[in-house]
Amino acid sequence: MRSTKGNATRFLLKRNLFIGVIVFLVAFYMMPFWGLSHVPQAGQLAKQPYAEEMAADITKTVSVQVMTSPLNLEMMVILYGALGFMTAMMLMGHLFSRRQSMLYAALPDRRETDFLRRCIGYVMLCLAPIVINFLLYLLVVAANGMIGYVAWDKLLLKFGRLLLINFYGFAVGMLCSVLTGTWWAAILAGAVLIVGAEGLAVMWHSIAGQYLHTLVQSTLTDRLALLSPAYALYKGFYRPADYSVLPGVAAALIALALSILLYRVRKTERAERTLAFEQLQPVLGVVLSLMGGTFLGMAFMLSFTTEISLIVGMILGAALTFWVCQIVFAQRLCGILRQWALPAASAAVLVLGWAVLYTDALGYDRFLPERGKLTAISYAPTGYETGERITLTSEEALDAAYAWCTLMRDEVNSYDRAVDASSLYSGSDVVVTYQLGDSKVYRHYPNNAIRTQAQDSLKRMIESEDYKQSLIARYHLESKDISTLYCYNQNEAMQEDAFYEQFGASALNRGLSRQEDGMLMDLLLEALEADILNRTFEEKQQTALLSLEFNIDLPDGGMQYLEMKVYPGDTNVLRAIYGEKMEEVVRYASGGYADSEDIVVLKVDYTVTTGESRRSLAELREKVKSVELAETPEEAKAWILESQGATANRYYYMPCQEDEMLSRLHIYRLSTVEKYANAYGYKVPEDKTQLYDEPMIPTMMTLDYVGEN
Amino acid sequence: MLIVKELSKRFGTKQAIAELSLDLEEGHIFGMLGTNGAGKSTLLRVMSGILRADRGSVCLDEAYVYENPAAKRKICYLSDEPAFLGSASLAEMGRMQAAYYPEYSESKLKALCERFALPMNERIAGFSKGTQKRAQICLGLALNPRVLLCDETFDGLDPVMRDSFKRVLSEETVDRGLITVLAGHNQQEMEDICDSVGFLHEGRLVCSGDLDALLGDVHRVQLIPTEETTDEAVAALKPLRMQKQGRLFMMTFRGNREQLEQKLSALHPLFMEFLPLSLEEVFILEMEDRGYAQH
Repeated sequence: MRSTKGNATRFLLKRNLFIGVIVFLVAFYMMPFWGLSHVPQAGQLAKQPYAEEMAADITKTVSVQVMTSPLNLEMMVILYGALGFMTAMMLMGHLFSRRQSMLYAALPDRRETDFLRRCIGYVMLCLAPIVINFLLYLLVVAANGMIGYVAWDKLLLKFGRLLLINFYGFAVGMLCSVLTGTWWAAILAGAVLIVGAEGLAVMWHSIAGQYLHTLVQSTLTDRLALLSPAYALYKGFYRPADYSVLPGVAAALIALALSILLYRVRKTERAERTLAFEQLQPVLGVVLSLMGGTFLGMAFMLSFTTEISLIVGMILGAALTFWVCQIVFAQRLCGILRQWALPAASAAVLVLGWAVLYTDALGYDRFLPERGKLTAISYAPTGYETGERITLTSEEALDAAYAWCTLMRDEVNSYDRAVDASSLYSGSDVVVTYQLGDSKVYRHYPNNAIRTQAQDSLKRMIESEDYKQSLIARYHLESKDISTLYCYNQNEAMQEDAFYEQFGASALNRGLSRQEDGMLMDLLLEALEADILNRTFEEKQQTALLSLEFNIDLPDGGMQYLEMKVYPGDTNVLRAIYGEKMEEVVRYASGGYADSEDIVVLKVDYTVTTGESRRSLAELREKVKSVELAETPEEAKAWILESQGATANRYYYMPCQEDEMLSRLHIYRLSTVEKYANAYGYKVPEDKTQLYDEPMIPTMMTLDYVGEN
Repeated sequence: MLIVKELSKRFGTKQAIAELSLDLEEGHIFGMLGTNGAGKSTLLRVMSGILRADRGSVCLDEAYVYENPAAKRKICYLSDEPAFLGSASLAEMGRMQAAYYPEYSESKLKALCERFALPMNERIAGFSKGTQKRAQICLGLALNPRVLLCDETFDGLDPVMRDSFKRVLSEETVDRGLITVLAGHNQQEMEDICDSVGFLHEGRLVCSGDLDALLGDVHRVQLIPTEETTDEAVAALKPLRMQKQGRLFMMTFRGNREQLEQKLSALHPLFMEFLPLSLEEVFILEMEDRGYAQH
């Protein structure tokens, strides 16, 4: 009896059923199992009287967290991608064994038919178990009566991304399997294809960061998305608007199309060889030698910290990697060292790359866009005073910002190029984004010595309507996105017991939440907005009294934490918090506390500049020039008003004091000094300037004096 | 008819097959003898559509074999290294074949397995090397192919099994009009069952033809000439090989026996005898002629 024609696809599926079981178990743990342990808890919350207030959290639990929380997001992405990759490798496993390869090649099947059959295998054995588990998860949600809480757009969007990551892994896995002839080579090829460009970019970005003084380290992530579809897919989980799925889809489809084309022409006899296509040997050798050279160069640089070590490492790394690759590819040693032209070319490319960066041959640091082409300038301080991220678009504000940027650009180019770029930054640095039509250019400026010169520009910027509106938008003051708001005393005098004794309370007794204190929060935010609109540049340069801390729920499901200072001139906010006591609090915190016999204020002048004191580890007490006592409370208060906190002189908008001689106020509370004296047998001197001589005496506070000496 | 035309295949720098042509007819067993690395396995793999030729073609009934499922369904290649799916049994391998080959017969596989004492449901990987070979042959025959390409298939089989399989092979070839190709080193086996034979050396078919004709074209002669006949006169007959022990000459000639007899008789030898040559001896002779392993 002759058999009827069997079904090869059905046989393939049966034969590889174990893949489906593995994927099913993993996906079961990720979705239904996780749902069984978390959805009932969310269900309990939904039955509580305050369920309405918790609705957002419940929705988040059932719609977002299932796609990210069973493991952390990175692990989820890696796992789903790896499931796709490993499925491809297992379905194409015959290519890694000579005998199996022959066995399949002998079958009466066209290569493309066989390929498509294996793609169907992926759909049935990998995608289907994941989708089934997703449906099971929805069943768990429905069984708990929570289906009404599902935000379908968010849930399906994130699930779709997970499937896409899985598909991307599969497509790359297919390509790697076809390109190579051994399991380990396919896995290595996968690593190179998925993160190779990313890795090379990160390493070169790090090298560039040492020589290009204005390079912005943080912008690498955006550029990585261009180099790595996998990275863009991963980042898109939280920022879908910024990271389109298109590069991922395109890359996966290209990988799959290439796979089928190469599978058609792949020679059966190349199984068990490292590379299935001999022509790729020199190409891969060069690519990997560029990576190896860069890596070894960086490793040498870390160990020996000289340019020569970097270059030697690059040359050695490029040559060794190339030769090792050729040995692995050819699986023989003979004649490998005779191949010197390509490793030499790789090494030359690396050294040339280093030279371009070292000399800034492309004029990266000298770049400044033409004013006429600028449509906006955005900037964000990266050191102290970090909350602001401002975009200026009006002509007046742009003029001011452009003048400031010109000064910053010139300052950078006045530095010695051999200096490590990271050593130039002192805390007042900013990242500037030049918007030129549709394109953006990022630069990182130290914004150090030029701040004094830039005061006029900074004043015009900070008092512009653009700046104020940008600040309001940045803090979401006009939206309902702020979930909680905390207020803390910022001024050191306000953190003293005496302040609590006199005014009875801290800034706010508790934090405000949108759900419980919505009206109060709105009142406070309205007051803050009014203060921002009226705030002058000079007011912003005063010592802040309070700091407001915002927790903001972002529209895409993320959270943002921001901080903003409240200055003595922000009377609306201060009145909303302190009511009738507002003026008294401001007066006290702004030096009024010195109007007491209990307070001693010493002004100590040093023989070093502010900049030198910051850079030097030497004991400042050995650099004292003079110690002066405030003779009257009025003089003490005047001094205090001319002082600021130790870090304030590095705010991006403050004048630079790096070259000013250092002068500090040491403020003592006599009652505290006497307690210390009684405890440690110390005699309080008649001449109060001698208090400074006793380093262990507790000071009430120390302030940088910036007035005229 | 299976036609191999000007086939060439290269692995890196090594030319495995060079410009090889061959015509094979139904109902015939073709034996392929060759030195180690002569290209026998490569030729069979190209003929079965496993490997792609660099140049030339393999056609079965005027249809190209490579990447042609219709042609490949009629071809079975029995490798010198039997390959099975990992942890598969004969029954599972049968199901795989059923999925790809419409002519596959499960009942035939069962009958063959019964005849050759093979368990259907045990893991093939656990079989001995010889049993794996038997399993491979049974699976191949169950496909009911039109072309059977055997690469050192009988190596590793015990004499009883070898004899049984040879019988089955002969029956199948005659009864079903199979095109059978046997590649190997065992000349005696080839002599036993092959209709025609080809010698492969360095990727080329150095000679091929009907077995009887091949054996009839080379002659070994023992000859004692008269005392007047000089050694130069004997050598002038241009034998392929010539040895002299006392007055006895042992010579090998190629060509027509009658013409050779006339030439030798002209010397009026005291004694002359034609000795039969084995295929192995003919093969060695041919290979030595081409400079293989001459010491």
